[in-house]
Amino acid sequence: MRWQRLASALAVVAVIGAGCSGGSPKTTSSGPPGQTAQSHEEVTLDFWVTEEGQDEFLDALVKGFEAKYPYIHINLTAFPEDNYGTKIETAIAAGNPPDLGAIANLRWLREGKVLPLDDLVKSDGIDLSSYNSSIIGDTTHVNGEFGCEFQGKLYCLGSYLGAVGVFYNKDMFEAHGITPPAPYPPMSIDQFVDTACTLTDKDKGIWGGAYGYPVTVLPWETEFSEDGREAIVNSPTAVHAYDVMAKGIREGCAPSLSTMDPWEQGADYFSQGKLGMVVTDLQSFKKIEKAGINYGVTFPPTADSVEPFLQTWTDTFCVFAGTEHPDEAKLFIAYQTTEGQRLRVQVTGDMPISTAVADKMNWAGGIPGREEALQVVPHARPAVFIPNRWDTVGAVFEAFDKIVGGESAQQALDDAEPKVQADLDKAWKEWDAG
Amino acid sequence: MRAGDRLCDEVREGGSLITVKARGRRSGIGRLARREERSAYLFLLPWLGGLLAFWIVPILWSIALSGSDWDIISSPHWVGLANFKEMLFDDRHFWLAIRVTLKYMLLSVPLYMVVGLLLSLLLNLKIRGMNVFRTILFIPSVLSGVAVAVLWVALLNPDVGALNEVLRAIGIHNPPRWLASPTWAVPSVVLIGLWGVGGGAIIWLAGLQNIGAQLYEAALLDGAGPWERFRYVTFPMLTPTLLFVLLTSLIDAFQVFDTAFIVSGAQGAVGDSLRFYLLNVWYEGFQNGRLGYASAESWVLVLAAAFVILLIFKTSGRWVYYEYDPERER
Repeated sequence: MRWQRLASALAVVAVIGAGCSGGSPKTTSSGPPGQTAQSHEEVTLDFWVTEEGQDEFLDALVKGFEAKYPYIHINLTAFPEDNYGTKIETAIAAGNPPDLGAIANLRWLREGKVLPLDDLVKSDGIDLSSYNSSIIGDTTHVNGEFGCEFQGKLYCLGSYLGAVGVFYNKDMFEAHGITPPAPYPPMSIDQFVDTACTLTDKDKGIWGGAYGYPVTVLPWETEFSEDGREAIVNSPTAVHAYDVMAKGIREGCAPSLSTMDPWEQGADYFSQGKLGMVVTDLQSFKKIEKAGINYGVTFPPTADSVEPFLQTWTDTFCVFAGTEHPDEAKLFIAYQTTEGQRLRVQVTGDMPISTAVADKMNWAGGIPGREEALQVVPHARPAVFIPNRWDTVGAVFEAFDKIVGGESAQQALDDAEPKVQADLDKAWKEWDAG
Repeated sequence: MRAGDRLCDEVREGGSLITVKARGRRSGIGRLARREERSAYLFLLPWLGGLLAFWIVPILWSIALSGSDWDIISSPHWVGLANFKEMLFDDRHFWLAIRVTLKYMLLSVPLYMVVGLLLSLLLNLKIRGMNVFRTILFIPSVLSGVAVAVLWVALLNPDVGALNEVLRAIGIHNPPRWLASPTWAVPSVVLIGLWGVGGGAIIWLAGLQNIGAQLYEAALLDGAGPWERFRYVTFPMLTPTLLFVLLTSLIDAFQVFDTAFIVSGAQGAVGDSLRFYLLNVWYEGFQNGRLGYASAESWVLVLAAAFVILLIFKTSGRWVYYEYDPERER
């Protein structure tokens, strides 16, 4: 369903891949990792990835790693994203997990199926000070869903920073005499929808904005209490925000998700000049620049009196606890987050997870939109932790559809609240039971 | 002495039938039969192995799992009837999935049967080119369910879909939002399924063509009109087909997955409105990692479906008419 789609759009972009033990000789290396090929026996690491994540960057990453460590061979296997988590879990149950993979479930971390990487950070001197703090946090539950830190330990290190942001077309703003927004603070949801309606030109087939469902755009505190245990989906704040967003779709200022999915097609439509603004992932810079769009980047809109929030993620490559080659597997993780970051900038143009790398590689390159993106992402903050979140918001998605269809926002969200609370209670009960 | 006489003698002497058979097995023909029997089992072995490994054992295993909290990656713990208790008293999604599935069943089964029957009556007419019409009608049934679902997602798009464009053109300014509307989502899936009703119509057609012409001739001689011929000849003679179509339609309705998965996972419907029972089982098992709970839910479905099917079989004696019924002959 829709929320799982977003989970995919976010996580999977992140969940690129993984791997494990392989077919070729599985001998243990004879010396400390990082040495030259002459002093090591050959090692094969199985790396399981999602088909969706098997891109040219991944190929370049593996190629680069094997060139640097000729005694380590990466055996890449791709699975359809929908089956990826199950494949890994089945392999774990069979006692033969891959050496490397991507984190697709928090339970893996909680149950010790993934190795912490804190020792690697220390031993390799990886400087995390310039990493985005929403991914590499130091408190419990910081962005546990898409990040790398969980309950005080680090389980993955990324090669890029994915984030939900707003691309906007500066030329359209100028043509309508609207002052472009600053990267931060964000527009309120009212301002965002009003601006979208002003920018909309139905004759030219231009939507002023595209944003999908509120629950994928607004801070999670719009629908949930700060401890994540109480549903407040029918609070005045939520009711107003949902009403405004539904009105934007009803009035044709933004497409419904049935017509256009901002996560899948947002960058394409924006590149074609068919959108004034789009809330989507900040990963399509090259495409937009190639299309010659004069774009800017700003923070996602927020609901009244709710602290702005920016969803972030990365490629959550990790080392599975069952590996016979933890040292070599960790070498790969270290390579991925150091040289891999640079490779990714060259191959895909994605934003590095480290501002130091962004500066060093001149990632922004004087392009205003990229400069603005770099000003947006430091404002990312920890998310409310809700176990199995996407399975608790089904009623909220349904409520928004009803509101778009003409039902009163208060009524639809009043109806949804007990359902969300019931799902939330169930999710917490399962989580607390461990 | 002929072989038959020898057999009779042995029976007369008190040899039982089993004895006779046992003696027969020692004959040349018996050895051949035994060899054939062994060969048959040998040929069947791969299939039996598959049946055992991929059906029987998993089915038995799922019974055991339904009483556990297995999540694949950790060892299962026995929880007794806790899974069943949870689904009955503490799981909104379980009841929601039942409601969605029942709604679909109530809408789709009668509709598909009636439309299939009407189409088959048309297809049974003796006109030129009928085979072409039959082929056209059957084509949607052989298309991939996924492809059909994707096609219909586009057709039912509330904003730019062909169906709503037509509805707007004829003056319906606020047409349904179909898959994007919690109210219309299930009827939309029923509508998608209706496109493949040609498959069912072919079964009805086979039933129609098995009705003897003499029955219609007799009815005509008795002065029966078209309605009377349908009411007193066609329909009673079609009741065995009706039983078959009813059972398969109900089983299909219990098993809705692919269309719902595609239309809710790709484009269109969201939220809880298309949480069909099997989809819910899949979510619990493979998204939430609760294989034990999902197994328990699966068994509830099996028992519910078995109950409905047995009920229909039990009552079928009262409304299904067989032209040749060995039971009645006796």
